Amino acid sequence: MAFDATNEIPDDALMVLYANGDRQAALALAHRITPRVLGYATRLLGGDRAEAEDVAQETMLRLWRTAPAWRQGETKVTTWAYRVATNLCIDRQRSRRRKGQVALDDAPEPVDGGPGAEGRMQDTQRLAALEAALATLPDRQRQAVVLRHLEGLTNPEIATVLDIGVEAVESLTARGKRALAAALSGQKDALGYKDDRDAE
Amino acid sequence: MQNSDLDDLLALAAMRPPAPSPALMDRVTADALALQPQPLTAPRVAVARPGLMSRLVKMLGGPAAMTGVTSAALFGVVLGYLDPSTLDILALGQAADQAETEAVDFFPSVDFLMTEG
Repeated sequence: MAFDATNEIPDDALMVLYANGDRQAALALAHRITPRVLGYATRLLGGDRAEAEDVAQETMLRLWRTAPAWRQGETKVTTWAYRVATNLCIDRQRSRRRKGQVALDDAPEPVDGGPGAEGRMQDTQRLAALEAALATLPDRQRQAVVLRHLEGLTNPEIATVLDIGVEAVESLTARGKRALAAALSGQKDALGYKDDRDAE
Repeated sequence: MQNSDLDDLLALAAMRPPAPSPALMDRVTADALALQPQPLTAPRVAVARPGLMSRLVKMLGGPAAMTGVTSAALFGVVLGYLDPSTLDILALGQAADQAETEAVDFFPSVDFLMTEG
C-alpha cells in the first residue's frame, strides 16, 4: 500500500494494519499522531522542547506496543495518545517540582512554527505571552484549555482524556480562560491589543 | 483584554503547533518498525504435480470424455470383428419381415479354420 493511500484511512484502521505488519500504516500513524502529541506536551511542559520530544517518543512507543491488542471502534487513537501524554507530562512536572525547578522561569522561548518574518514579530510576542500565561495555570486548567482551544478536542473527548466529567471540563476551561485573560490583561498594550482596537 | 482577543490568540496558537524535528520523526519511525509485528503469511503447501496419465486424461477432456473415447474404441473393435453382411443389416436396416425369416450370422464363419488340406 502506498503512503498516500493511507490518507483516507481512519486512525484505528491504521492501528489494525500496523499490527498486521503494514509498513505504510506505521509511517502514516507516526506522521499523524506524533505532531499532535508533541504540540500538546510542549504546551503542558511550558515550552520545554526536549522534554516534550521525550514525552512524544514515549507516547508513540506505548502506542506501538498496544497496537496488537487494539480494539477497533472502542477508543479514538488520538484520545488514547493525549491521555498517555497527559500522564507522562504530569510525571515530569512532579519530578521537576521535587527538584525545585520553576517551570515558568525555566521555560525556553516558545517555538514559532512559521517562518520568522519581521511582520510576524507581534504574533510571536503574543504567542510567547500566551505560553507564559498558560504556564501559570493550574495543571488541570492548562490541560483542559490546551486540549479544547489548541488541540481542538470536544468536551466529551477531553473528559475521556482527563478521566473527569463533561461538566468538570466545562468548568476547567471556563476558569482557565478567565485566568489567561487576567494574566494577559496587564500586557495588552505591549502586545498591541489596544492599538488594534484603536485602528478599527 | 477582550474575550475575542483571547479567542483570536488561542486560534493563532492552534494554527502554529510546534513542528516535530526530523530527528524525532526518525526515532519514532525506527521504534514503529522495530516493534511492528511481522506480516501474517500463509504457510507454503507443496502441491503434488499431476502424473502423465492424469494430464493426458485432462487434455482429452476429463474422465467423461475418456469414457466416451473408450466406448467408441470398443465398439470399433466389435464392428471390425462382425461379418460384413451384419454390417449391411445394421447400416441399411433391411425389411423387418426379411430379418425375421432369415437367419443372420452376426459372426464370421470359422469353419475354414477346421478344414484339413
